[in-house]
Amino acid sequence: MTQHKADIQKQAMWWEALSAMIACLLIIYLIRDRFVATSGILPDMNLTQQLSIFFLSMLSPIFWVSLIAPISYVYVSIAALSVFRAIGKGHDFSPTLLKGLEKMGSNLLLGACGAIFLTPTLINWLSHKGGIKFESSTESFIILIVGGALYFISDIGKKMQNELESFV
Amino acid sequence: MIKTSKNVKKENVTIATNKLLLLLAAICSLIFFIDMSVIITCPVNQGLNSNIKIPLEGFPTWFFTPRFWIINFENLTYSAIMLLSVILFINLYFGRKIIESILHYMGTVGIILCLNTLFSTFILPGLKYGNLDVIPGNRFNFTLHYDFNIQTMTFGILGVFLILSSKANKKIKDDLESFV
Repeated sequence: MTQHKADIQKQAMWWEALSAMIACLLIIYLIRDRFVATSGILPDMNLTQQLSIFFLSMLSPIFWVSLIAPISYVYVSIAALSVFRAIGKGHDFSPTLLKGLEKMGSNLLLGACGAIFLTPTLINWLSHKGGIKFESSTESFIILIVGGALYFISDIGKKMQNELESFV
Repeated sequence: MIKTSKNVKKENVTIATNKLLLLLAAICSLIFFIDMSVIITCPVNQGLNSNIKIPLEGFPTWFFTPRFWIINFENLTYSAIMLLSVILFINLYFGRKIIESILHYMGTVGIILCLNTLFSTFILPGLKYGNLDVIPGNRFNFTLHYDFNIQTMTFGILGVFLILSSKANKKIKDDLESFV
């Protein structure tokens, strides 16, 4: 049993390191993605001009609105990092783990809502078109449903922990 | 038993949560059926066989081709997650085997998400562009093709997280059972 626990802790440490790496990669990817989106506006631009346009695009609210979903996903990987750390330290159904689960669930829900409904609608509003816009994809719905499941699981975990504590 | 306002509030929250769960289960099952219908009628949409004009025409033939399964692997994983979510939500709604169903859900969905990430990041681009090129002198040149995107990476991390926490929580459940 102790050996099994040690194995899980060891695995969790590896995954903590890997998820930290992936979180950094996601942030770099996000910056690169935003940079690529603005750099192709005009042909034959040098790096200084590309950088200037990139920084100028930050002044537009659309730039920040389109970051809602990706930032939520990055935050999910950061929450996963804290959960892996908790498992690595041997806390199984600890408050840290439950908090991490709740954070992951709520951020997945926010990210999916952002991708499906918030970002397209806000972009529409900022472009003076008005109305409500939905951009649904199977991936976003999966994220929404798994996020919902995680959120409810953390809720159930909290209730179970409270019952256990009152029992003890 | 006298119902205090705190108890009534708690009951209302439980009822609202249960209603929300049932709504989510309904959404899941609806998406699952739409997804499956897209998979079944995909030879028309994806040009598996250009001679097919009507959905389901020549059904058994293309259903057993590897190409069909490769093209639809991602959709199939999504449908499987939908189905598992429906089962979980129904179990939670009716309060049946809560811990078992949560552990089962976490473990299975975790594996499916990891497979999905592996497939869509490395295997599908590899199959699409080819990892091995034959160069003169009968030698092979290996190029790793990959498709890195933020949603797939989130799926990967989520998958690993679900597998690990299902393992950790299963251990607690076993400990508790042995204790009882």
